[in-house]
Amino acid sequence: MHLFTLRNLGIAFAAAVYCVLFVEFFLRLMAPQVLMPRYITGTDYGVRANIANAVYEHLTEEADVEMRINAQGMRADRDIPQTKPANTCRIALLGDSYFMGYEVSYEYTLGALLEEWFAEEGYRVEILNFAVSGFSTEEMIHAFDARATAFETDIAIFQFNGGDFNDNMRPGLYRMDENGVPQRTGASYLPGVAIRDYLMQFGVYRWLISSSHAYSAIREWAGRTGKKILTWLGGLRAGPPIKATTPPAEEVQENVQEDVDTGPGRTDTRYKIHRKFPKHQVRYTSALIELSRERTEAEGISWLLLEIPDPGFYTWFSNLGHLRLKDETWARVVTPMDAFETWTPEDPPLYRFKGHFHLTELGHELTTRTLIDTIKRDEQELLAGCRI
Amino acid sequence: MIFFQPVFFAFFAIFFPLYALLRSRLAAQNMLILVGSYIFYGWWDPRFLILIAISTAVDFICGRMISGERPGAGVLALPGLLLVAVLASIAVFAPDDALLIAGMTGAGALVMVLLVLGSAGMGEAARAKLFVTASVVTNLGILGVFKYFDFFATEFAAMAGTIGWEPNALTLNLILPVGISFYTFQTMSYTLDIYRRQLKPTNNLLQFAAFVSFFPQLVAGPIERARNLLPQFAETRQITMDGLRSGALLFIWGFYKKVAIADNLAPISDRIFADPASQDPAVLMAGVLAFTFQIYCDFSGYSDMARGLARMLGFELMVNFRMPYFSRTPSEFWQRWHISLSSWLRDYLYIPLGGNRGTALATYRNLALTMLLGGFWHGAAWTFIAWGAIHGGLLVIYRVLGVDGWLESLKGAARIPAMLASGAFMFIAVMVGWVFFRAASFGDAFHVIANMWAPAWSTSYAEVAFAIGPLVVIETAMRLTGRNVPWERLGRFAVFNLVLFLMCSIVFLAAKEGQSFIYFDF
Repeated sequence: MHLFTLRNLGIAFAAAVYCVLFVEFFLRLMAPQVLMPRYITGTDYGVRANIANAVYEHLTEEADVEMRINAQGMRADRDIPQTKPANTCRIALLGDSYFMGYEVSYEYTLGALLEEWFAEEGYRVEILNFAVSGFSTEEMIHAFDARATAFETDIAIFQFNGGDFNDNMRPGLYRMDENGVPQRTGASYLPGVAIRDYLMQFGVYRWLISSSHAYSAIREWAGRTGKKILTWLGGLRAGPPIKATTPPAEEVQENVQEDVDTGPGRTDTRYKIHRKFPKHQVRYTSALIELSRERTEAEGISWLLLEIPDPGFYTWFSNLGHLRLKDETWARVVTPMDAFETWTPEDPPLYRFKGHFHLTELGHELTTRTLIDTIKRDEQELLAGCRI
Repeated sequence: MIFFQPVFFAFFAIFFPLYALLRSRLAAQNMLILVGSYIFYGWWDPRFLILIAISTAVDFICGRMISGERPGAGVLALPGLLLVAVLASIAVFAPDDALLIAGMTGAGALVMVLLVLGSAGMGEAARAKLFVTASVVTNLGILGVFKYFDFFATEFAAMAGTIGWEPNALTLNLILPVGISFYTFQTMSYTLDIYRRQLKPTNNLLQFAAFVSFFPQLVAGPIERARNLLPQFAETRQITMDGLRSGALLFIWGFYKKVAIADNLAPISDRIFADPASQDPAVLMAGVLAFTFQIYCDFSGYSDMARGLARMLGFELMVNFRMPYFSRTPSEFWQRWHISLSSWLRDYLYIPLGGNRGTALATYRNLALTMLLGGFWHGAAWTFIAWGAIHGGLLVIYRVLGVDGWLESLKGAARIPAMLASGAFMFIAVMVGWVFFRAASFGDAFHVIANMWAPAWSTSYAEVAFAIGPLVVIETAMRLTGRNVPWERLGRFAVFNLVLFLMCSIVFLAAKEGQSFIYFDF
C-alpha cells in the first residue's frame, strides 16, 4: 500500500513536471509570451519602488530592451545627486510603466528624450524618473511626497491614463471625506512585495521571470485576476461618497452621457467616450488628480498632468472626457492627441500591439514633443533660470 | 448562456452534481433537466421560453391525438399546467411583457382546446390529419412569424412598389429567438413520425418537455429525432467513467475548434466581408478561406460540445459532422455536413416530395427544391437561398453526370488522382457557396467571387494557416487512418498529449474577442 502510494505520487509528480514542460514548449512554439519581469521592491515610505541598480531584460515580439535602474531606483543612465546643480531645472516624472519607458530602449524614453531635446534647445534640464510599473495616482502622490521635494524638483509631471480609474481602487492609501476630498488613511500598499523579495534571492526564480514563457503566462493571469479581486475589494472598502458596490449600468451610462461634452475645450469628437467607467472610480481619480496638483503646488513646484491616450489600431482615444477637474487644473493638462492625430498608416506604429500596448519610439517622440512645446509656452514660469 | 462563458461553467458545476445525485430517480432527473434547460435558455431572454413551452404543449397534445387517443380534458391538463408555469416565470422575470404574452398564449390555448374537444366526433384518420396539420402549422407558424415575417413583408412591399403601390411599413422587427429553427424542427419530427406510424407517442409530458428543451442541443442542434432521443428520457441513464472521459474529450475538442480556430478566423473573414470592394484579391481569397473554416469549426465545435455534454449526462446524440471538407461530391458533402439537418430534410421533405422514385426530372426538381428550402432554413435572405440553390444545382449536375458512380467505379492508378481532383474541386465549390452564405448582398458576393482568384500573397494567409494548421493535420490523420475522433485507438500517453495541446490552445490561443456561435442566428 505504502509503495503503491509512493508510486502514484511519483507518477503525479512526473506528470506535473511533464505538463509544465509541455506548456513551456507549446508557448515557445505557438504563442510566445511577453517576457517582462518586474524588478520591484518595497520602500520605507510605503509604496513600491524599482530595485536599485537592477539590470534586466524585457523581451517581446517587437522589442528586446535592457532595463537599467540607477542607485536611486530610477530608470536612468546615471545616478542623480540629491542637490541640484546651478542653472538647472529638474522635472520629476510620476507615472507607471509608460513613464518608465517599458518596451523601448532607454534613449527613447520620455525622460531621456526630454533631457536630450531640452538640451538641444538650450535648456539644462534633469529628469527624475520616479515612475514605477503598476503605479496608481495614489502611489504617485505618495512617491512625490517622499522623494520629489528632496531632489529639489521644479516641475512635477503626473501621468494619467484610462487604467488609473481602476488602479486607484486598489491601494487604499486615501479615502474621500464627506466633501469629496481624499484624506490619507493607509500607511502602505505593497502588493506581493514580501513574496517577491523572498523569491528574488533565488537564481531559479530570477531565471523563471526573465526566461520562462509558462511562468510569464501564469504571472500575467495571476496579476490580472489579483487586480480584479483587489479592485472589487477596493470598491467595497471605499465607503461613502464612493459607491460601496459596483454601480448599476444606468449609472455608468449616466456618467458617460454627463461627461461627454463637459469641460473646457473637450467637446471635440476625438474626446468621445470609448470606454465606460463606474462613476465612483471617475470621481475618485478626478479628486486624486486635484490632490496631486494641490500637494505639488503647495511645495512651490509646478504641476502638469500628461495623458497617455488609449491605443486603437488606427485611432487613439483620450480618457480626459471622463474627468471632472477645476478650470485651473485643466489649464495644466497635456495630451498628445493632436500629435497622434497626425499619424498615418504608413508611419511606424505608436503602440506595441504585440506586447503590452506601451508607447513605441514614435509614440514617445510625439508625446515628448507635445510636452516640451507646452512647457516652453510657459517658459518664464516653468523654465526660469535653466537656460544654458 | 453560451458553452464557453464562465456562467455556463458555473451552471454546469451546480447542475451536474445534482444530476448525479438523482441518478436513481428518473422523474426527478428529468425534472432537473427541464428546469435546468429552461434556466439555460431563459438566461438569454425569459420571454421566449413561452415559444418552447407552446411547441412542447402543442406537439405533446397533437402526438396523443394523432395516435388515436380519445379527446378530452385529460389530454389538455398537463400541457396547460406547463404553459401556466412558464407564464408565471415570465411574470416574475419579464413582468413588462407578461400580460401580452399571457393573452396571446391564452388565445392559442383556446384554439387548441376547441380543436381537441371539437374533434371528438371525427374519425381517427381525419383526426390524425387534423392534428398533424395543427402541429406543422403551429411550428412553422412560430418560425414564420419570428424568422420570416419581416423578410416576406419587405419583399412584398418592394414588389408592390414596382406597381406604384406603397403599403405602410409591415415589418414587426421581432427579435429572432435563439435556436428557434432547431427545436421547432425537432418537435415537428415527433408528430410527423407518429403520423407515419414510425413512433409511438409518449404519455409522459415531463419526458417530452425535457426532450424538447434538452439544453446541450437546444439552441444549435444536432436536430435530434424523437425516436432516437426521446426513449433516452424514459430510461435510467448511466453516468460512467468512460462516458465522462469521452464526453469531456468531445467537449474539449469542440471548445478548441470554437475558441482557438473559429474565433481567431472571424476577424479575418469579417474584415473582407465588411467591405469587399476595398480588399486585394489575395486578402479576399484568404477571407473566404477563413470563413470556410470558421463556419465549420464554429458549428461542428458547438455540435461536439453538445454531444460531449450529453454524453457526460448519459445521453447519446447523433453525429452532426464527419470531416465534410474531405468530401468528393455534393451528395457526400451532405452526408458529412450538418447531418441532422440534411437527414431531416431528406426524411421530411425530399422523400415526401417523391425522392428519387419518380422520373429523373422529378428527382432533380426534388433535389433542387429541398436544397433551396434548406438554404432558406438558415435565414430569411436571398443570399441563403442562393447558397441552397448552388448546392441544389451541384447535386443535380453531379447526378446528371453520374459522377458519384464513376468515382466509385475507378480502380488502380487513376483512382487516387481522380479522388484528389474531385475533392479539390468540391472544396472550391463549397467555398464559393460560402461566399453567398456570408456576404451581405449579391453585389458583395459577386465581387468577391470575381476578384478572389488572382495568385498573390497576403499575410492573411499566414494567419489562416496558423489557425487551421493543427486541425488540418489532425483531420488528415483521422481521414487516412479511418478514425472518427482524434483520440480513437490512441494510447494513454498520446491522448494525454493531445489533451494538453487542446487545453493549451484553448487557454493561450483563444481569441481575445469571443464570438457567439454563428448558428445561434438560424
